[in-house]
Amino acid sequence: MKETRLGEFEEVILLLVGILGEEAYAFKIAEEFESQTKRSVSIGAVHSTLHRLSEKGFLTSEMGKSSPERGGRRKRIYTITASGQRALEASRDFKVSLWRQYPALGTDFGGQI
Amino acid sequence: MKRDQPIPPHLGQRFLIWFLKEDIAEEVQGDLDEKFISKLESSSLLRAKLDYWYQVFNYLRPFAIRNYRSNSNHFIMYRHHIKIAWRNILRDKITFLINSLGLALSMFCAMLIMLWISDERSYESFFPNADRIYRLVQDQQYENGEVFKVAANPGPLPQHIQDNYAGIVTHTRFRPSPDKVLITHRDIEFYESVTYVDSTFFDVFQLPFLAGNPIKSLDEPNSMVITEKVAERYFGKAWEENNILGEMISLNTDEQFEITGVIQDLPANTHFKFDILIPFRKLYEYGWYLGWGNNYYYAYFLLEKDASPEALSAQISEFATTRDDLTDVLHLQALLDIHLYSDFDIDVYGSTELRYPYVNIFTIVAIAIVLIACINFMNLSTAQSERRAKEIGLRKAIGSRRSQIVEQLLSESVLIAILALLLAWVAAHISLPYFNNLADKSITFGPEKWPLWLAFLTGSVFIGLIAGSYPAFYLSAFKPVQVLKGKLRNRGGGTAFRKVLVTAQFAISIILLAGTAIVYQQFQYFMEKDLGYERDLIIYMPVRGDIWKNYNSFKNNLLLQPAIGGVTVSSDIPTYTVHSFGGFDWDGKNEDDNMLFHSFSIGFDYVETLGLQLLQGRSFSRDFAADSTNYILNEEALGLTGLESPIGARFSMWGNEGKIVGIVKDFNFKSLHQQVEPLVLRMNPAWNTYLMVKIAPGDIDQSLSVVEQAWTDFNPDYPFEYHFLDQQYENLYDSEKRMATVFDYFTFLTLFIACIGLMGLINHMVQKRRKEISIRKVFGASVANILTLLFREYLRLILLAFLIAVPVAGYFVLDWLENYAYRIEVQWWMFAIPGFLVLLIAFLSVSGLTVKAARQNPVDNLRYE
Repeated sequence: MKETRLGEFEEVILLLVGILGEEAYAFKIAEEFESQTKRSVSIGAVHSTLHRLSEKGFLTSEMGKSSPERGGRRKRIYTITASGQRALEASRDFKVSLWRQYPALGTDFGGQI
Repeated sequence: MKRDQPIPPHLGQRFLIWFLKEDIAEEVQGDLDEKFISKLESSSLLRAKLDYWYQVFNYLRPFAIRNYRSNSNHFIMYRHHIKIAWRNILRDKITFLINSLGLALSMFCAMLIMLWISDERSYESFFPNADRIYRLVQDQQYENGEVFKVAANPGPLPQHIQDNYAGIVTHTRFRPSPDKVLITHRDIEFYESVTYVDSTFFDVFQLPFLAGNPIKSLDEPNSMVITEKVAERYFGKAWEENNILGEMISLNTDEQFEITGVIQDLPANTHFKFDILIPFRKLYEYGWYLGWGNNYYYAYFLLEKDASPEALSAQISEFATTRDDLTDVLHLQALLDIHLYSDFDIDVYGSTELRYPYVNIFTIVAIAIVLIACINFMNLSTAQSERRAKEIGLRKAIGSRRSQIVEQLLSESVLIAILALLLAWVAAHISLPYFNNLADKSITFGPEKWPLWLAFLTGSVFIGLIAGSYPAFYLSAFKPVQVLKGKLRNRGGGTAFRKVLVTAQFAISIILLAGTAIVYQQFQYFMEKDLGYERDLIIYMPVRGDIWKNYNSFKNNLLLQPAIGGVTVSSDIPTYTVHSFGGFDWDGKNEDDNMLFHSFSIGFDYVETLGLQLLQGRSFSRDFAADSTNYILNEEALGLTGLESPIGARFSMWGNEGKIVGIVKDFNFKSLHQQVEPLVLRMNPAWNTYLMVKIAPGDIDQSLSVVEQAWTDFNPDYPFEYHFLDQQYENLYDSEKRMATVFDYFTFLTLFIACIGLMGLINHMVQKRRKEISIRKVFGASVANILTLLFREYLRLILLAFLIAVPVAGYFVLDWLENYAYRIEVQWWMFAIPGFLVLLIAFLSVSGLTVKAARQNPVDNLRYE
């Protein structure tokens, strides 16, 4: 069975796929990642993670439309699967439960989520 | 996309498509194009292109790279070859071990030797313009046929040459002080050697300065340039933080010098050894002789780019013939030749010997060692051939071409060679410090040595190809039908070839072993030779400070002590003779002859303290006031004068008339590389620079402390420092000693490689003849019988190897011994013992295998028949 836990980078990429919706393809995800995190990333790194997430069954993909700036080439659009959704929720719940146990911040932080 | 719009780098796109999996190519190319265009909006074209490349390289990830497994026939074949090679390795581990260990060991040796050679050849090359720097040297010709090679020159000559001949940019003179001087800064004091150079020194030798200005550093008479090492010694590790320029340092307690520059430490690969540089003009102040008459100063010239050193040499020699006080043959020696091609009787730091023969010898040794390992490789592979025969037959039967089989076998041997290289490389890395210690080098093996690394890699691929070529062509020639029918028996060729190889291997081993033995004998001979003077228990120290003023009381005081056997002074020590002169005269001398004599100035009791043997007359004595201009000659010098009754005969040096009062037996006052030369002993106190003290045997520490006490009493400003004469003598033969040790190791390794090769071969033979051995045993053969049977064949080969080796080794050894005026006689046993030793070692190394085979129970091997 494949490893199904999420790494930090994987989790972010997965979330970005969800946020971008119809526009979720490697280049856009990388751009979004850079603008949201202020960290630079190569398209190759993003693509490799997308590939890995697909293998884990968290993402599916299909070829989308082409556009002139791509030289008429089509793009691969990624969408989150149900199990991807579950993995994200599990990851969030786990972190929230950890935050709840965290002494100083636990109480007032929990309320917001 | 519009036509005029910039496009991503073409090469980058090509590269991307080349390695990218086809099924993701479209989306990736699209993404990267989009990225390129968006990058263009925010930054320059160049940046966008660079970014494109960056993105391309970031696609070099396992998920995105094309899988060649499914795409390339060649790749599949090579993978297959490597897989088969690996399986073969696992199937016969012993053969593999012998092969790869042998190869690795030999590559290891070759690697160290090549590092050593490349270091030897790298001397001086770090100086900028090294190829344009030359030094002036002389071949002094004397009427008695002697050619005396001197690297030093008269003081005014270099400037004269620069002024009168074209093609010279600048020059510098160079003169190390004969002895160390006391250098003091605050309370830190050490004896250091200092070197006097012209202010142009750094124009010729452009050394990097860590502090100070190279152009002006030596302009003021009392300026001093020091190396990093010295700076650290006197100003601490953190000297760079405290500005030490302008700090004063005192020399011999009475003179102050200002530090004007700090240079990087010199690397080890230069003939220069200096730490402290002082302006040359100080020598004028000190009253050194700077006329035309004496050769004291080394001179280096920086030539212009197109200048011809040969033409310049000829011009200088022509000038020299016009002057009586110059020798006739002067020439320019290239800086880059100094290390390997110098054999001067007088050179910067003593006499020099040619180094390039050593480089040649070691090159030959390296080749021999690699050759032996290659031979092993070929041998074992061909020996194994029957085992592989069926595989080859099958391959051919299913359509393999001969070239494919050759390719397969070659890639196998190249694989083993590269594995061996890796092993050798690791071993060389680990053992480099020990090797440096042994060879007195400081070789490094860092990434800056990449040309060597590349050479090793191509070398090992080459070795793999060579070593694999015979088995590859031999095996691939098998006829498939015969092989598969099991009919294959060697056509004899293989066995004969193997025998030739084994013989060659042992011949090389015997040659190396005999060489080692003889080098060692020669060294031993040096150490034990009676030199005609006593070198044990004599210490010497340079005359320093007030010691000369108080010499007589110092001496008398010492002689009162029972621990002291004698005290004397001299201008030279018998292991390092630097003074030789013309200008002698005697009755009956041919007026035109200019003859060269070495000459020491000595003090009273010299002859007695060093135990020289007087053949006629007497030694210098206080009872004869005239002895201050009298002379003692050695036998050689007497022979040169041709005087019949020398005692009382008139003799003079530079017009100082006197008489010959004694004749001493020849003693070896130079290294044994040279014959004893004519020597004149005279008394000229101004020249005396060494104190020599003979101490009594027994408690040496006690005797030394007596000398030290006297030294400190009479000379409190100068710390006591001494050397043993016999140690100094041993140092003369340092290179022979190191050679002998290094040779020892290489010989041992060679023999080892040859032996494991033999073991592998006999192992194979024993396997093949197992049944024969068992049948013989059934018929009553004893273990000893079988042992003889198996070993006899190889015994013959080793004997043959011996017969080949002796003349070859003899030739090399005699050639080498030619270098030495005093040498051992080459005896028959010097070859016989190595030969016997090789035989014995070979026997021991295979006896285990054969005894095991001979003791097997015949039933085990025969019951399946």
